[in-house]
Order: sequence, then C-alpha cells, then structure tokens
Amino acid sequence: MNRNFLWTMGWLGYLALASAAAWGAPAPGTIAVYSDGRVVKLLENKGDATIWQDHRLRRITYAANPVLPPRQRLGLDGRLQYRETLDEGNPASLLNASPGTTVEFRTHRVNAKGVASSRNYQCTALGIDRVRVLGRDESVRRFRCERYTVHAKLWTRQIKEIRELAYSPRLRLVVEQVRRRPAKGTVRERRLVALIPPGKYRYADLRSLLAAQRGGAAQ
Amino acid sequence: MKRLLPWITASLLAGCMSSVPQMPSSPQRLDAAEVRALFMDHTVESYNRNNQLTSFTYYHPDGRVLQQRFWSYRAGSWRVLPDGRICLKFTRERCRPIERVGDVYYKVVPKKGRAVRYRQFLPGNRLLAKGASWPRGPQFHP
Repeated sequence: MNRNFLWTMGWLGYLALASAAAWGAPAPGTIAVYSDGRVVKLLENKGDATIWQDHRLRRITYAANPVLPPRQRLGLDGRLQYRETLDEGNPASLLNASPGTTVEFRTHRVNAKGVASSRNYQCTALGIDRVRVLGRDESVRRFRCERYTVHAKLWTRQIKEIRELAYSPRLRLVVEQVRRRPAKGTVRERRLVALIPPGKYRYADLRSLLAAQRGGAAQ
Repeated sequence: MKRLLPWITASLLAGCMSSVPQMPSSPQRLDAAEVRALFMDHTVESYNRNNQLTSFTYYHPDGRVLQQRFWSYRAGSWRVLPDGRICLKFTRERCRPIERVGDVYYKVVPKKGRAVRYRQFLPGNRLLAKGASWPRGPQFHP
C-alpha cells in the first residue's frame, strides 16, 4: 500500500464525511460510489424523479419513491433500454407506513425491443432504523420488496427477485441494498461508500477507491 | 439400392452436420483496414477486464483521440500501424493488436492477453456536445 493510495483514501474519507454532514439531498454533479463498484453521477433533480448517469453513461430515471423500480434507462446512443411505469397500486402509501404494512402494485414494462410485459411487486415497510453511512449514524427506513409472477394455471407465486433496502430520507438515497434472485441463486449487496461533491474528484482517486472496495491494490 | 444406401446415409449425415451449432470461433487478428473501419470516427466503449473499469474513447478521423473515464477526460492521439496494431498516445504511445472472437472484439495486451473487451462501437463523437470545442490540455472536467 503506497503513500499516494493512503492519501487518496484519506482524502475521499474526508470528502465523504464533509459532504454527508453538510448536505441534505445531493446536488446535480454529485458522484455516488457504491461498494459493488457502481458509480453514478446525478444529472438532474426533476420534480418527483432524479436522473442519474452510470459509469457506462446510461441515463437512468429513478422515482423519488425508493420501492419503485427505475422508470427508464437510455443508452449513450439515446435508445431506450427499458421503461417501467406504475400501472396499478399505491406504493406511495408505504413511505411513512408503520412496520409490517404491505402494499401490492403492478408496473408496465417495455424493453429495448419494444416488448411489453407486466411486473408484480409486493413491498413491506420494515420500520425505521439507524445505520452507519459515510461515517455517521443515519436514520433510514427499511423496506422489503418481492417481484413475482403468477403461474397461469396453478395461480401460485414464483418469486423472481427480493430486494431489501435501507433508504435515507435526508440524503434521498438508497444507502444499503441486498438483491436476491432465487431462481438464479445470485445475491448482490451494495452500500453507499462515498458521495463526492460536484467537481471535487479526480479519476485516479475514484479508481483507487474502487480498487480498495474490491479488496485489491490500486491499479 | 443397397449400393446407394451408404451414399444416401452419408449425404443425410452431412446435411445434419451443417445445421449443428458452430463451436466458438478461434481468435482472428484484425488487419489495418479492419481496425480503421472499426474505430475511425466512432465512440468506443471498452471494459478493462483486469481493473474492471469502463472507458469511452472517441477516435477522430484526423488522428486525435478523446477519452472519458468516470466523467474525467483526457485528449491524445491515435494511429494504426501497417500490421494492424492500434496505437494510443496520452503520455506514452502504446500499440496493441485487436482480435475478434465470434462477435466480440478485444485489445490484446502483452502478458495479460485479451485484457480489454470492446462493448460497443457507436458512430460519431458521443462524448462532446455539438459545437463544443476539443480540449486543449491533456485533462479537463466539463
């Protein structure tokens, strides 16, 4: 571990702490770094939605409600990769609901080929909690969402995906998320590790931070 | 009829063989013309399989190059050697061959093999907004 690397880590740690303490919701231009290597930049706050750009320069529109899936994703070429809109149900009622409250809703999804489908969700409020985020105790609301299909003949539910998330109302961000896909047997965990204010970062620092998250040396 | 039977069987088998899915094709090194056609005036998304990082590079027809990594930009130059190797120069020039395996293109790096996988080739410059000027310095943050 060289001196530059330590300096970088210290700098990013300071930046994360300073930014988290000073801010509420991130301003456009802010970069969020997650433990699984995901890096996104906030482009725009747009009413009840935020538009982020990921490291592959795809523009992703998120609803303000954290239990809703992303509304749409556009590629760098401007083509739609998917769009998912609320079709039925009231997931907004879950935001301030008491623990154990469950809401069902359905979305209409169109993929890159224009093929439309319906997606069913069941989300449960798990209550308020405190988690350590960017060096401070953050008040979060926890939710658990299941995406499922219903068998056409047997009417049984098949769980496609389970998402457990911790949402910080102050930061207006999901700060922890575990996503399980039972059929595929995959589990993906992600937590927020840095929020970098607009213009306050260098490529080399981000690269070092990501290498540290992977447990390897900076390359 | 008995004499014809082996021939009929053989021709039927040959017909079946042609419909069997092909094995993954062997790596094919691209020549200079193919490399130019692939990269020139294209914005290319590449994924470094060693450090797992993504970058976008625009290859201007006049030999300039613009690269974006996590919204940080650097400008340099590029050229293609007669043997098909593509050279990029930001601080020091490095020349590497390009290989195609099936439909996927890779940059081959000594001792690391196919270290860079190209994800997409988009026509034109997708990194600079229309009318924006080319960066003068080696790095800038728009």
